[in-house]
Amino acid sequence: MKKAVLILTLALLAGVAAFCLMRHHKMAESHGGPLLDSMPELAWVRADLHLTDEQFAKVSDLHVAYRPKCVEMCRCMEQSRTKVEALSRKERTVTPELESAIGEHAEVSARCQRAMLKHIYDTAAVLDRNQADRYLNTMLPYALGDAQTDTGGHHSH
Amino acid sequence: MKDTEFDDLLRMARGNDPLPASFRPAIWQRINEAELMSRPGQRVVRTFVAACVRPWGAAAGIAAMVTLGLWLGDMTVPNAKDSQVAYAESISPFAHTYHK
Repeated sequence: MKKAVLILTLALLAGVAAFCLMRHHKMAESHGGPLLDSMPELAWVRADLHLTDEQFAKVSDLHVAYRPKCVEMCRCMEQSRTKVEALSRKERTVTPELESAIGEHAEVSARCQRAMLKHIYDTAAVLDRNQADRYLNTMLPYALGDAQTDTGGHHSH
Repeated sequence: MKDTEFDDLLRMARGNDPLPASFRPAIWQRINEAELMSRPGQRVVRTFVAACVRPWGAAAGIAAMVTLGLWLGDMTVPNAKDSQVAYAESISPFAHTYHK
């Protein structure tokens, strides 16, 4: 019985060690230093596009500069969407007020889309051709509304 | 009943036929089996423990735990698709309104 307990304990310890080693190895693969620790959302750009340190620094600078604008646009989008929703529930016809809110929402949406596209093109400009192609192919569908995020998460503004 | 009478009775009950040599071990084996059958959980545990102490059983158990550990370690790290979506959400002003 003692031998069996010893073997089971050994097996358990081996399993835990394997778990820790695999996790450590995987995390080390995607680790990018202090910048990534403060902006973990950039992990994909760094790892998938194989950026050099210089490229990553430029991409990070662009990202940092764009984030406050993105937060503000997100707020405007939410505000105009809420207004459209409230007006559309208020009446059972398209009132001039609702029409105006829809136009305003479309305008905000277009402005946000333009800003997002500009940021994507600015980021692509600091990459080499292959990286930029891959980056644009992956990110443009998000900007054009062809790809929807499926994590169910929200902006962490 | 007096002791002498009881002794006589025991002598009569044993009979005159000699018991086979395997009688006692067979009786004990049947008692053990009956005990094991009465507790199925214990039987499973005993079988498991017996398998564990065998060299192949021990090696298989350790290999299974290592495989499970490696698999869990791999599964609990965020994958590329998740980090791609996280980046897209971080630059998209629409991320907040997609899920309404």
